[in-house]
Amino acid sequence: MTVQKESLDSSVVQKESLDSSRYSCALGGAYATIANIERAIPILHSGTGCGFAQTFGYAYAAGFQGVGTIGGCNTPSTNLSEKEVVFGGENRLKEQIIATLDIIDGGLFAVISGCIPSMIGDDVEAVIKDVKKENRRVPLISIKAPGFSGNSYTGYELALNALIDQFIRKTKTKKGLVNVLGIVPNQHIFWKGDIDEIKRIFERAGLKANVLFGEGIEAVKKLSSAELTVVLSPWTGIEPAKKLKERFGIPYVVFPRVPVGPRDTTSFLHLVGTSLGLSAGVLTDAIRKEEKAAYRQLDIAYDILLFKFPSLPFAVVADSSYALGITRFLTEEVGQIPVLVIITDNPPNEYRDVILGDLSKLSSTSPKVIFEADSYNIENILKRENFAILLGSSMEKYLALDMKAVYLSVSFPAFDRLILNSSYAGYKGGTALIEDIVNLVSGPI
Amino acid sequence: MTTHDDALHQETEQAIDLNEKTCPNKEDRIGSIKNYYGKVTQLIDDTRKGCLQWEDRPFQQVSVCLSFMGALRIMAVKDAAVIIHSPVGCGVYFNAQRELYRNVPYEFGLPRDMNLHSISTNLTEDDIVYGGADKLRKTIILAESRYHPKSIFIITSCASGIMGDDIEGVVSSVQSEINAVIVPIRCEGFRSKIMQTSYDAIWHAVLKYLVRRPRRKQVDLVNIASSLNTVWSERLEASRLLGKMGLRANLVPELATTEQLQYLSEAAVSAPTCPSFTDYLYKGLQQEYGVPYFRSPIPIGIKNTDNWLSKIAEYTGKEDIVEKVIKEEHKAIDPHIEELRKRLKGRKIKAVDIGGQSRALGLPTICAELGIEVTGTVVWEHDTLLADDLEERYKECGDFDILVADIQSYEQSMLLKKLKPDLYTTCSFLGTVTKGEDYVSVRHHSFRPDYTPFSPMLFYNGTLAYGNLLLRQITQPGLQRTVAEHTTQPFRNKLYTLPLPLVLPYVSPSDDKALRKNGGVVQE
Repeated sequence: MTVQKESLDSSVVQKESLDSSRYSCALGGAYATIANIERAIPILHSGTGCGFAQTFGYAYAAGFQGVGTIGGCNTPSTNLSEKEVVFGGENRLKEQIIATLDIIDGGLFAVISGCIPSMIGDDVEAVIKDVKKENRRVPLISIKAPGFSGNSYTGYELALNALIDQFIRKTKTKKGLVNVLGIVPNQHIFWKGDIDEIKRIFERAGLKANVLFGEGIEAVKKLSSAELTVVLSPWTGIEPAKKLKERFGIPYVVFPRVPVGPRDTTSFLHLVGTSLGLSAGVLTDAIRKEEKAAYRQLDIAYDILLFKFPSLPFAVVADSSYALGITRFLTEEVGQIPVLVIITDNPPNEYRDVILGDLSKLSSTSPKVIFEADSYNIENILKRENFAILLGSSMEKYLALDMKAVYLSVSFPAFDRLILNSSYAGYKGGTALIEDIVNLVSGPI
Repeated sequence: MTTHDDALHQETEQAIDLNEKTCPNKEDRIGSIKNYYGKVTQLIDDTRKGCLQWEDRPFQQVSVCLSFMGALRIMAVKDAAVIIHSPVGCGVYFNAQRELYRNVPYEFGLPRDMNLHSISTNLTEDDIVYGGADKLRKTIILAESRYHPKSIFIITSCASGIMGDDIEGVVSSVQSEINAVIVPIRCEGFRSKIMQTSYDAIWHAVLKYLVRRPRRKQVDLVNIASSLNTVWSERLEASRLLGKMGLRANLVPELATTEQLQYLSEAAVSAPTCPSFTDYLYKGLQQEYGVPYFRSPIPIGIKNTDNWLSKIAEYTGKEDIVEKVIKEEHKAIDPHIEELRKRLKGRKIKAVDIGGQSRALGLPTICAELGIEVTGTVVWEHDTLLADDLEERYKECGDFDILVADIQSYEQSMLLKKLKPDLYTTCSFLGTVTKGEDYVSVRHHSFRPDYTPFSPMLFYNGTLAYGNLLLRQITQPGLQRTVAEHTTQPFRNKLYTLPLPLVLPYVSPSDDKALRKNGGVVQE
């Protein structure tokens, strides 16, 4: 049961050109993170079109996330031009911040600096300091996220780091409160539904999850009140988790995937319970009820699954945390055969063994695992493989259909579905995934 | 055969210089502005007197940049590869080219040999330090070996521009190893404050690197550079209408082949869809290859479609056929338009229309023809060539307010608060302004692959389809009412006390009462 690692030049962090990328830039990640915290106002200090590209390429591409109150063409932006490139953008930024504070109602303002100010050397901190002289109480932070500094996963981390360093203060520890990091808005196309399910299962277990999004700025402030931070990814979110540990002494633990289905969700809860020092019995009752409900659903699906999904070979194209979660569930609990897993988030080298390890412990034959972010290469790898089901981004949709495979969008970009409540996380997520896959082929027998 | 107006424009403007690596900025070439508010008569007057001024807004919202617009327009050339020379985020949307149009059924004319590619040079920290030229060169070679395209378009970005990469140097040094024609497009996001300069930059590059001397004249070929978001049903309708006249539509750039672009020079005439988009290309084609063109009308509205077809007929010797075609079309559509007009006119609707030059000029015509009063328009950019077109709108609609703004959704909220229209034609990504409680927001255009009968706005059937959309939505604005009731807006109330457009050095009204007293003019 060895994991094969194809020796494409993709085994190292992707720095070369990219055909049709599966993530955005650091600015994109930071922007979506702030814009999805209720009453937090992003101020882009960037070119005119940075926000627009992120609306069409990052929010709409993530299951058509609408612009809401402050996204899209609502977002304040310095819209830097040649004048600022030559003479500096600091005056323009100051003017924009002052006007924004006066016109826009918000609870937190975050200046997100893109490529231009970083390349021309704007002193954003000095501008913010200057503005704060006259507006002392205004919560105003700076996030330096030039597009070239990283991808949208790292942009999420940059935003969290800035919040932790510049906004969050020490608060009293709240018993049973757990920070959950690593779910990146838009990049994780099911982020809203996943967060709801994680909150729900924590409540069932008598705990409370602080998932950052959906509860406004209060949730951000409460990041320092938690007893524990859990990172739901092999790598994204570890940096801010470390920062929370350094600043507020909150320990963290890594669960390297989004838990999909009852079995993985139970082991996730056990990890949380153990880390909190809860005795094994505390969680048992809640887990038993949730598992029972989930397996009853699986039993109902059993008939059609036996007809239409008899141990079929499947392939997954997704970022590490979803690829791991989905592959494990379909293999370990639904009896499908993983033949190929393409990991698209370009994880740093030091985390790749964790990912490979997680896929080598399967009860079925282990899949071929390839780290690849380039869509041309991904297409060619897929073409060489036989599979009956393909779970990927909607960029794979027509290839899968040409190859007569059942296709479902589970990763970024997903242009072919509107995603509101959908989630494949937790006890409910496993059965939801089965529903969505079966619905593609369901019909009279 | 050019009209007096056309001739006048062509005399007063400078020739296109294809020896230059790119076009001049629109603000320099045709005095484009993105900042004005007043009556349309006043704007026409100010334009003709040459007293349009440029001032920047102290508060701005996200708009479109040249780089995004450039890639957006050139992403779907059927046998080309597009290289976006930028960090990965600038090009993230262009992964959509893999799916764009794929849901159009083949029986609706989707070509089976569609082969679209976009690739980002993915500039990272190291590249910013050492320069991106080598990476660009490698990416060009990679694109050639992977996709075997007929042409390779290079889209530049803020990052590549500030680094000062010698794009043209890379192109000339690598072209001999590459079969595809390499077409570098200078569309750094910051180079012009007018995003539509990107259009000129695309066409400059196409004219300079791609377009060839005509092999022969194709007397039945009509160039149509289609405006942004021309939907599938409109493409089909353009071909159908010209087909009835024995003509062929050379639709570019979406789904055109490189060869179609190369031989734009062979067409009998170039017909407009959007003044801002087509102006530079058509001038270049006339100047270099003698392909005649006309600027107006664009084919939005019934009368304008008549005139658009008639103008094409003038240049192609189809004057007799066009009369017959127009008569047939009218026979089929007129009763429906009349019926619709009765129903809409009875409701006494006041509308504010917004959009790029094509929609901002076209929608008032549709409104006027359907008995809707136009009280305001918002146009993304205005230039010195637009006075005659605006005068036509004035003749159709009477005087109305006009705001020139590069989107700036907050100013649209201010305008709507002031004008209190019943109807607002818009785009959903403008957010808050589309969710007003007192008016009905209607989208302009559907998705580009939309082939359904509900989708068009251009041509005869578009007037009917769009008019029906207006009627449906004004009758049933339920969605907007629900959303408006349950969402908040981000603006403080003081926004609505500020002068329009917000071009002054920013002074809060609470800080400076003089601002309001002087009607928004700060005294020195």
